[in-house]
Amino acid sequence: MWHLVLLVPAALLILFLCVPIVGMFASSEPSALREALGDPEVLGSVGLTLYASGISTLIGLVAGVPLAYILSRKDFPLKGLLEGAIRLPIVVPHLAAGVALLVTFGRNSFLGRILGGLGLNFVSSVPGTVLAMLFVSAPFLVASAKEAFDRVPPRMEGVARTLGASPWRAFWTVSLPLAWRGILSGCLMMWARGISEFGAVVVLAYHPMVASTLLFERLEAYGLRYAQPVAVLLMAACLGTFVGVQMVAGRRHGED
Amino acid sequence: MVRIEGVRAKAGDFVLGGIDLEVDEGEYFVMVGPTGAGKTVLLEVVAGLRRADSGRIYLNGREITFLPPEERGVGLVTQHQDLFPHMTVLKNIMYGPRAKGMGEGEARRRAYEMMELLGIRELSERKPDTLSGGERQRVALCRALAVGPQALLLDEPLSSVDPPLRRSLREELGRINRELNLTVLHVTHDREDVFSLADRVGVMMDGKLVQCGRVEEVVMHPASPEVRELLR
Repeated sequence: MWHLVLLVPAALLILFLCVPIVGMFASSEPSALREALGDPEVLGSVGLTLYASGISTLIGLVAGVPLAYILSRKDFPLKGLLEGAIRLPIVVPHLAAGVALLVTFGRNSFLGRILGGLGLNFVSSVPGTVLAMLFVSAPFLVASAKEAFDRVPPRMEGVARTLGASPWRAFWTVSLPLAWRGILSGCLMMWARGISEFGAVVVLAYHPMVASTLLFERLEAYGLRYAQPVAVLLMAACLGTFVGVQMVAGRRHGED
Repeated sequence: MVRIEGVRAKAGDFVLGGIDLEVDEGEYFVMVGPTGAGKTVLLEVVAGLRRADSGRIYLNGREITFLPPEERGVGLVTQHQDLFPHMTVLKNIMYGPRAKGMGEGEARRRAYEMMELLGIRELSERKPDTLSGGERQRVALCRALAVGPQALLLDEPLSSVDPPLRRSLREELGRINRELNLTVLHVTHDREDVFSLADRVGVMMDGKLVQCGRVEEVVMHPASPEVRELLR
């Protein structure tokens, strides 16, 4: 009886999560999919989505891992406040995040003018797409990496230091290899969150269109029949990449 | 020789207060005290993992108070062993020599030499999670010795080992101390460690060193009922 109490809601949730995705793949018309595959606008938007989200993840990795390490290892005044501020983009409505980014990096803003002078324009541009994705998704990577560093006992780094390792060497040879799985998981979450982003991107960089924007535009202008193949292609690309990364991660785990 | 002069340190609400101690070269000194007495904090301060708020620490006449851990020349074995789980036993033991700038071949030779000393050569390709408690402790000891420390700090090294294994590990520790003429500062709450290993003993309570001397002296003339109770 107890198992039934656990299984029924669990099975219902699994069905709820899987049926729409499987249904979308199953109900796609092969001709419409072939048409979408040959449509440069669709392929371009899916490619741009994967690329921009990949770049934002790379930036998040370079800046987020040191931040996560500091948050995990150091205590300082207002640390709690800083951690809350870093998590803020997760809870802010993403259209509002887009507006905030537009206010900060728009052509008429102080920063926007300075960066514009350096040739970096964030409105309706690929850098704008990357910026919007970075803003809404970086907290996922930072949180996951911090959790991973939290699981590595600082004592272990201390022992490495007494064995002659500099802080830098202890980080690279002990902390990072032990935290890499959590960091990779954070990268995947950030990348996925970037791909699925719509609200902030559409405000800051409607053009060039990422897949979500194209999906929205086709749904609005032409209806479900034209939007579905785009959604199927985007999902297939994401699933393929996710499975690939998981396989690599699994193999590396086996080698460890 | 390890000389600690008036060392004070804070760890959260805990205060280590004005410790003065000398451990002679080649001496096996056991610091005993109940849980929360500040023994681990003292070792962390000597190892450089925690900053001393005041006082001075000398190792063989060289002041190490403000040196980072990697420049102090002390080895540390913790009660959790803290073996690097992503490395084999061999790589764990080679870690120190490599960090000290030895080449791969030389570090490997050094690691095998130390593994021979501790009789754990057959463990070289094993991962830490496949080792027993006693094996893990021997590997941790071997790793600390591989860098040729001038003093060895042992933090409850036998507490996570089954009682039957403790005796053989104690014998091992005593043998290493004698064979290498190594200065050892061993902290414990187990009085058996005092009676089996110590040349001299110190008793810590509430962050203070309340008594220090040869084992027989401290046992025969305890400074307080608490000390008598601890060593009874």
